[in-house]
Amino acid sequence: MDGFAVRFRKLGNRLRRPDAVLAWLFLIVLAYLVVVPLVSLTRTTLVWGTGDLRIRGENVEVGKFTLYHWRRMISGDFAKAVFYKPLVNTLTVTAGTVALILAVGSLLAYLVVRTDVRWAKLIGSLAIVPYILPSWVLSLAWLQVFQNSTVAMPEGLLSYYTGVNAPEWLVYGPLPIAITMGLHYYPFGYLLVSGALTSIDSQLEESAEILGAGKSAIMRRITMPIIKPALFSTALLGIARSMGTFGTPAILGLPARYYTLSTQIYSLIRTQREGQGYILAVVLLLISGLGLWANQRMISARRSYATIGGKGVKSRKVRLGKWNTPIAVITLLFLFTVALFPLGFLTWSSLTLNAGDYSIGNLGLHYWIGRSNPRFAAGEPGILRNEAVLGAVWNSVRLSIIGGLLCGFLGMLIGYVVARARKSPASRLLEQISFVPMLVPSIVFGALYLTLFAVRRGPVPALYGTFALLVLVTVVKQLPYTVRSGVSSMLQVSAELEEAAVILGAPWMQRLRKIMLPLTRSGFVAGSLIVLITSMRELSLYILLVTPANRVLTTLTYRYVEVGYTQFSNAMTVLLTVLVVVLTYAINAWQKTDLAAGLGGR
Amino acid sequence: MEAVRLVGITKGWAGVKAVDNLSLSMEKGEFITLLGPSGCGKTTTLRMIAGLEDPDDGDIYIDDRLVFSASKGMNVPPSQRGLGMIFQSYALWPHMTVFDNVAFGLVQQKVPRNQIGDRVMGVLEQVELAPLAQRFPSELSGGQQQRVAVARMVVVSPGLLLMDEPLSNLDTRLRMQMRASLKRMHQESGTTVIYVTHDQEEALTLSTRIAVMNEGELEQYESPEDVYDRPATQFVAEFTGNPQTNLIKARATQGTASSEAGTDLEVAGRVIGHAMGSGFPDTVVLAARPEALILCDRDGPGRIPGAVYATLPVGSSVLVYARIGGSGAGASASETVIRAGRGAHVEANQRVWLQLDWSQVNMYDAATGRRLDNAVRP
Repeated sequence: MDGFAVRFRKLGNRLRRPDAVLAWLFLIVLAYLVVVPLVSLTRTTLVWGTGDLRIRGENVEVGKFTLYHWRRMISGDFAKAVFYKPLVNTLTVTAGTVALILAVGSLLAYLVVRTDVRWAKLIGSLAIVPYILPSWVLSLAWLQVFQNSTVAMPEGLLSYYTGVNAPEWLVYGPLPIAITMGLHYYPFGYLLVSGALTSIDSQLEESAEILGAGKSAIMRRITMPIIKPALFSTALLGIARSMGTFGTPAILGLPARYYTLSTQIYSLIRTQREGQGYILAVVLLLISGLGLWANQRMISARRSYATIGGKGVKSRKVRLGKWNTPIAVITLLFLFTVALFPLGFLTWSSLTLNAGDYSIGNLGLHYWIGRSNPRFAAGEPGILRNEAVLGAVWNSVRLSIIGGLLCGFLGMLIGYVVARARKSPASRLLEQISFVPMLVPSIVFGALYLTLFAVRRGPVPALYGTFALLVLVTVVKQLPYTVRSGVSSMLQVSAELEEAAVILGAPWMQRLRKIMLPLTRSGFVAGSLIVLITSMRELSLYILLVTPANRVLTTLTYRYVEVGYTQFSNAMTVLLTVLVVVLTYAINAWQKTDLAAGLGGR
Repeated sequence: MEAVRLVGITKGWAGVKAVDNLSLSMEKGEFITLLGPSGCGKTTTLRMIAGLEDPDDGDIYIDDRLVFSASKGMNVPPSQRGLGMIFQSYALWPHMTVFDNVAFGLVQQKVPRNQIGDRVMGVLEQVELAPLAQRFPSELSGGQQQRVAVARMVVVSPGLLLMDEPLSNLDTRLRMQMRASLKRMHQESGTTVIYVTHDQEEALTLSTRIAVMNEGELEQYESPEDVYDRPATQFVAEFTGNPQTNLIKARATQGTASSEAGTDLEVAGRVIGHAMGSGFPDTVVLAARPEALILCDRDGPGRIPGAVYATLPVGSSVLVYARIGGSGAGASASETVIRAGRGAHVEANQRVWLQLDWSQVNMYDAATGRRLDNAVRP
């Protein structure tokens, strides 16, 4: 037998296995989309950029190796102002945010899952509302409540009605940033912890009780260790999210010149100091990498707890007794303040003709439907008449739907490959790589794609300024969510279901179309929906990538914030939220799906 | 004509061999059972025949056609091997009706639409499920689902039908009924069936031949009667026992009497028999099924003393558990079970003596586990 022919035939046999082929294909593509940008980012910090030519003048040869950026960022006054100070600020804000996420998230989870609190269902559904809102809703509202003449005009709600002037530390800086960010991000803490709490069989606690353990001992030695992995994941996700968030620290920090790493990166890149801006991105990445490493160390422990879940979990609720109603009322009040009031307030504020004047006479629909009038906002027409806004609406809707569908589909395919070839190193590597974007802060991710697609590289065209780049960045950044839901839904479909079709002669595409995809449809819808909602209200990821031609709603909103058209940005935020809610409900009604399951990754 | 021939099939994962150099051939129309404990490689073997798993080494022929060869790089896809497979979980597609499940294979074969309906309903009639054609699998009972799984594979009329523990998810009563209907279906259709199970009773009742596997190797491949009466190895003897086969260790010592007396077999310090022939190992294992032991109430030549531990009436007979060889320091007690007649009257702690029915006893080399065919006389 001819050795070559045998080898050729064996290769043919291998190619017949689509999971193996796809695994390598995805690996190559993802390596380019995830790994190459990291290299390219680092490289940018080590060479002269075009901006440096303008700023530094002579002695600069674009593209040539230099340690100039690193030297400038490591020591000296410049480093102190643009690196060390923002770094400390970021750490401060992140610590506060994560503490708030953990406290609020786990308290709410405990209340809903483990106690007999009144209106638990209402509390449970209100608790995840902030997640659907754009991240800066709270900060915009915060600003417009506490703002006053001692800090900046126009007047805020508080000072309008009571005449009390809030001190500056309450209006701008770390405290309001941490509070508004924490109150925006706590829902995923709530979901993760309530997932863990639900999986605890109360027999575990009852056994301890029978063996003589007191309430605090049970909490300390049984309950806490079991939910510890969930708390840890919450903290880790909280760190990654809040460090990369741009909107909130921009709104509540920049006016007081309080910079965090994300806003500092933005301002450096806006002033063409890419080399230095990307050094900050590298630092953000390193911190996230540290988190990844810590997570890996935890993961073995987490896996062993996973077996606790399953069916038939018995759960005994803690009785709150006479405290039940007061606790429920306080919780609901809190949730109304966090979830419903800000949006209502922004709506109201968008209807005031002159900012800061909340009298009835000052109400009007000008910023929504008014024609251009030089008296207001330099003649900018109301948003529903404004071509820039309508274009951005179209871009946002298009982006989130296309991105959601693509990302969802890719997630299912990767999930299929990972689930089928569970043991092969290629699929394990694939699963790991597709999770990397989760730990890359959004603003850094935007920066990565800016460098990767700024110019043509081999067969890959320059995509900067195109809609396709926004889709691409959305798909890759949100891939971890859809891959997670893809893997878990594919694992739920037994391999025998597909093998039966193999025996009966269905080729791979048919198996996918007729068996695997129909059976995992709910996972696909849930995954796509998450991406849709997330990308609809995502600002940090796009802020560096948009050009006037491909603005989306969020970046346009931020433009209005920047130039101080408060009512416009309020109206836009309300419009955005309405769009997200309408789209979510439309899809939910069309394809029954459990959004909470997708968010929590259960 | 051979329906299936395996030549030197080997398959391993991460250094552990699931199937080791297995060669096996099956005649057309046979009902072959691959029997063994979990992890013995029987399901892997079945999946390699189906083409769902690729052997590391060896050749597979189906109907005298080479479908897999590691050395030649041959690998015919499952759908072109002309076989059907019934899975342990049934693997019915939950999003399709019974009709669509059964029709799937015909649609893949591009059978004209008008014929599909007739053929599907014909098969569903055979398995008595025609009225339920528009139901979804989740609306059927376990037994009905099992029949849909059979119908789905039978409808494409494969020459070879593979079944992976198809009855293990059913309750005892239903399992008996399904065995009968499977046997009948096999006799009527004449299809070759390869059946994987760990249930020795199922293997004994259904098969024309049983291949007993252990740790990836073939222990015995013979008719059910031979496997039951003359297990080739100690492992087979032990595995096919129900409730259990008594394995009694005996010391073999050179006979003190004349050379014709052969080798003395010694249990619990007394000689219970004499093995003919020479070249005997030091220790042998006597395998006796519960019905091969006779319960006596007094001592006699060749009898083993013991004490009753518990008695379990099972309706038609009584299972008596007794400990033998326990007397004396250092001697380890071993538990035996005897199937006694219904009227047997024994109580716990009663002293009893066990007599072996040598015609039903097999003898194995304790070191290798192979059967020793030397004649034994009391």
